[in-house]
Amino acid sequence: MIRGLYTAATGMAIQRDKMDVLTNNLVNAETTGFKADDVITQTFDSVLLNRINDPRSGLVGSYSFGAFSSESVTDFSPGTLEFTGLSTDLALDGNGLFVVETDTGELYTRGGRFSVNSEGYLTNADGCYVLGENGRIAVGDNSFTVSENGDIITDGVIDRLRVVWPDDATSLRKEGNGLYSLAGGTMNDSRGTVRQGFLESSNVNVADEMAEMIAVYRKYEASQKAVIMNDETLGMAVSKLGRL
Amino acid sequence: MSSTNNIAAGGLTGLQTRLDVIANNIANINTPGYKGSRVEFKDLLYTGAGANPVFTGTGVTVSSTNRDFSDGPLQDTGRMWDVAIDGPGFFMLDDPQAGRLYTRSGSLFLSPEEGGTYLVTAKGQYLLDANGNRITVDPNADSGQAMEALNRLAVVRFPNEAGLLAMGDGTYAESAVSGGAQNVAEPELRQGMLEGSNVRLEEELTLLMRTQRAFSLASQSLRTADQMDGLANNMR
Repeated sequence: MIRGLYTAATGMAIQRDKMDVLTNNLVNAETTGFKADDVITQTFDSVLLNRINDPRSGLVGSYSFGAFSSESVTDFSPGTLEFTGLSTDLALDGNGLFVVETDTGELYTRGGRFSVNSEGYLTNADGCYVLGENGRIAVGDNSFTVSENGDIITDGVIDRLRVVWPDDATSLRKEGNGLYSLAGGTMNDSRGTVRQGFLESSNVNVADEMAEMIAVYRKYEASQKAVIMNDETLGMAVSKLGRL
Repeated sequence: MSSTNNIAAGGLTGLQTRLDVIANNIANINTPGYKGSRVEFKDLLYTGAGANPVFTGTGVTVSSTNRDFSDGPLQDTGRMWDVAIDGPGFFMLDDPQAGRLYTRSGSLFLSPEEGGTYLVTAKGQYLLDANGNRITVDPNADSGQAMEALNRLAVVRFPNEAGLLAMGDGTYAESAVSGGAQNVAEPELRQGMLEGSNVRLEEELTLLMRTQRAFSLASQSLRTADQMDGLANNMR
C-alpha cells in the first residue's frame, strides 16, 4: 500500500510536468517562430517482488514503481508565414535555422524581427549578430533585400545568410530568447527558402493544447483518487486490522 | 507548484503590454505623422533538474517594442506652410529645452522675432537647414517663395530608425542605438500635404482579437493549474 501511494503520486507528478509544458506552449501562442513542446513519459524499470517470509519460492512477479517524465520533445512543424512588409523581418519557409553570434558561441534561430544596429550590422532583437557566410553582415541601413536563397543585396550581393539544419532535429535544445543550441550531432548547410518581410507564427495549436489541458486535469484527478484510495486502505489496515 | 503560475502570470503581463500598445495605436489613428508600435515576444530560459533533466520552458516575455517607420498616407491640406516628406527621412528641429530633435510632421508656422521670421512647429521648435542653422523666411512670401524656403529644410535618415527615442508630439531624439543622423541628398518634399498616421485599423483590430484570445487562454491555464493544486492540497 505504501508502494501504491508513491506509484499513484508519480501519476500526479507527470501530469504536473505536462501542465507546465502546456502552459508554456499556450503563453507562447503569439511568440514569433515558437515551436510547441511535449513531454514523453516512461515507466520505471520493473523490479521483481519477493514474497515475505516464504522459504519456498519467493518470487511473486515484477512491479513497476510508476512512471516519470523522461524527456521533452519539440515539434518542428512550420508555423504560418505572415506578411509584414518590413525589410528586417525574416522567416524560413521549410526546415532551416539562421545562425547568430552570442556571448556563449553560435546559436540558432528560426528567424523573426531582426534589426540593423547603430553600426549598420544585422542583429536579432537582443542585439546578437546574425551571421552570413562571411561572418557579421554589414547591411548599412534597412534598405537591403534578401533573395530566396539567402543572398543579401545592397549594392550587389554582399554576403549570403547561413542557413543550417541538423542531422537529427531532436538534438536541438531550446535556450530561450528564441534560440537553439546543438546538443550533439552535426549541423549541415541547408537551403531552406528565406522570406524577407515575413514572420513565422508560433506553431502552437491552441485548440489541441486546451483539449490536452482538460485531459491532464482529469488524469491528475484520477491519480489523486488513487492516492486517496491507497491512503484509506492503509488507514483501515492500521486501525481495523491492527486492532488489538 | 508555482512554476505554472509564474509562466501563466508572465504570459498575462506580456499580453497586457501588447494590448496597451494596440490601444495606443488605435487612439492615434488620426494623428498626423504618427508611427504605430508593435510588441514582439520571445520565450524564456528552459530549465531542468536531475540526472536526466527534462527541459521545460519558463514562459514568455516582451522582446521588443518597435515603432514601424513605414510611410503613412499623404493627405492634401492646401496650406502653403504644410510640407510632407515623400519617402523616408526626418526634419531637423532645434527645441529650446530638449536640443536637437527630429520629426516627420511638417505642419509649420511663422514666428516673427527680432532676428527675423523663423519657421517653427506648433510647439515653437525651430526648423533647421542642412548646416544646422534656423531658417528665416519672408513673412509675406507667396506659395512659390514658400516652396523655395521649404527646400532649404534639412532631411536626415538614421541607420536604425527603430532605435530613435520618442520624445512626444511626434518628435524623436537620436540615441546610441539609432546611430547618427545622415543627410538625405535630394529629398522629395510635397508642399500643401501632411503625412497621416500609418496605423491601419483592420490590422490593429485583428491583432486585438488574437491578443485577447491568447490572454483568456493564459488565464484559463492559471485557473486549471490552481484547481490541480487544490486537488493536491485536499487529499487529506
